[in-house]
Amino acid sequence: MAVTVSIPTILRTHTGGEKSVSATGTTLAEIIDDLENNHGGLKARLVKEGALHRFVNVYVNDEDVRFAGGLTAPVKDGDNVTILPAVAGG
Amino acid sequence: MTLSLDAVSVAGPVDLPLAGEQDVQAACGIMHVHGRRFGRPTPLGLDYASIVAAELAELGAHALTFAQARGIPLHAVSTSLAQAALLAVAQYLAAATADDPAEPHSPGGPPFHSAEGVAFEIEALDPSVWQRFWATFGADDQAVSQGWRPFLHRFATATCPLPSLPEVLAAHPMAWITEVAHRTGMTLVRVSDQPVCHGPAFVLSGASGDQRRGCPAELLPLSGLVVLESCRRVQGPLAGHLLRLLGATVLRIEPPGGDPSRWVPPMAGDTSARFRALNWGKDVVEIDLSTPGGRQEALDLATSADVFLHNWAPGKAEQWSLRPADLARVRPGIVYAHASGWGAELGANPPLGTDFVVQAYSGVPPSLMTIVDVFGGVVCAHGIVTALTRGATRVDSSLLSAAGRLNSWQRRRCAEPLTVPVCDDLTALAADPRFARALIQDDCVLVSSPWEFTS
Repeated sequence: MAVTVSIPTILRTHTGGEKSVSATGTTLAEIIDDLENNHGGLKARLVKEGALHRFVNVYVNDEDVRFAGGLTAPVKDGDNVTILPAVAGG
Repeated sequence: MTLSLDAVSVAGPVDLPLAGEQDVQAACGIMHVHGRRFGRPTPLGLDYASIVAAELAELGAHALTFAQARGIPLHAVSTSLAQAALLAVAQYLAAATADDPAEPHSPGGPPFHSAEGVAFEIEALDPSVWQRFWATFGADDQAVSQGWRPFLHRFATATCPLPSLPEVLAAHPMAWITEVAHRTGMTLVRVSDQPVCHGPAFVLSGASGDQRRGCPAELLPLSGLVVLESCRRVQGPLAGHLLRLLGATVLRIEPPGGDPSRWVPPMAGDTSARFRALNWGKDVVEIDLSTPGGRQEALDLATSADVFLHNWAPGKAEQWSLRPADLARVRPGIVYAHASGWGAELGANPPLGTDFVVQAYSGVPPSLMTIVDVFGGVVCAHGIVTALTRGATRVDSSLLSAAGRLNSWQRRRCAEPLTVPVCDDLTALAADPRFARALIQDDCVLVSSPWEFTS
């Protein structure tokens, strides 16, 4: 299961400057583990104490994964995973 | 209060024949941004550019007094409705001229209405609260999930399309909706039809003694002064930004790794365009204020600062022992400014104090443009400069006090016919040479200082 992951500027130091990378897995957790294997350091920026970090939003095809099981959210071949910083309020 | 615009021109540095408020709202992008939620340019329900310009003019006058007391040879200050309007749309302008393609802006947005027709605002900064609230009403999972992003981003986009969700609430009585909000942690505030306008825009207290600073080499009112700022989002950073435009050096305390707002798209170079609009030109130091060592570092920096500005949540200053007395101990005479959501008005545990909730509570004519945040920043900076001028050491202002100030101006809604075309594209505005003197072309388009000081 290969998906495309969009990497925000702040995390591109982990991907050699790449804006998007591919990863494989059937859940978001597996995708993040695969990212970590190829781009060390990413996981610690996304996951804290077994859950998505508070300041990170992850979307699978524009849907916030927090509404789809968080790290257990399923992903399928060809999905687009977008990582964005989470900042709310004005 | 009525508007006194003698010291304020309409067009300022904008090379357009702007006749008044309506023209300014049309030409400078306010109608465009406010109208996104309606799908067409729409005037605000108040003379916002005139009100902001009047506040900027008062602020500028205080800054001039302060400059003269310091021996800085400045003799006049001017501002304009157009500069006030551009300040208000600065974040949207920066976002529209960023590197990434602009997001489409589908119309739509709160306030919501109950079955009885009661209008109200809701607010959540946590998706689990959003999910629990809607799940209780049996809302469609997909609509709930897809609604979160536009809801979260409405501060940046000025629109909030939420297909099917308003209809869900419209089927329920207000008492039940209020009960569900309470149970699920959702902030809910009824839209007031009585404008709140008691209380001053800011409160000054304390006395600095004779602390007038000497005359610096540069020629702006606050040149040579240092502002230490620990602020997030809009109101606080904008206050610091205005102080910088008045000449101060602003040092921002950000958490380790930087303020998360720095990385929010759309990006301009390596920084969020909206973040740049509020924070360009500031110096930054990364400090973890949740640790004793970090707090000591902040106090060390305060020893050479003239102003300490924060917009922390209620109780944070006490928890961190960074109260006015703590700062005054290391730096006697320092101006301690707190730009909060609600001030002390709603007690120690107020609802979430964001722009749209405060709009609803205070009865400001509603907009998904961040009109209270921006005005709150202006009011806070006004309070700080007034404190410097009068030798006060403490400034308390809030979104609520700013909303009260907005409401205190007469609601006269100019209805004169437009004499200029309505801007419906901020990218075109940014590239229009007639705006060139009011804008700065950088990685994205930034708005110049709203004041001109002359010696």
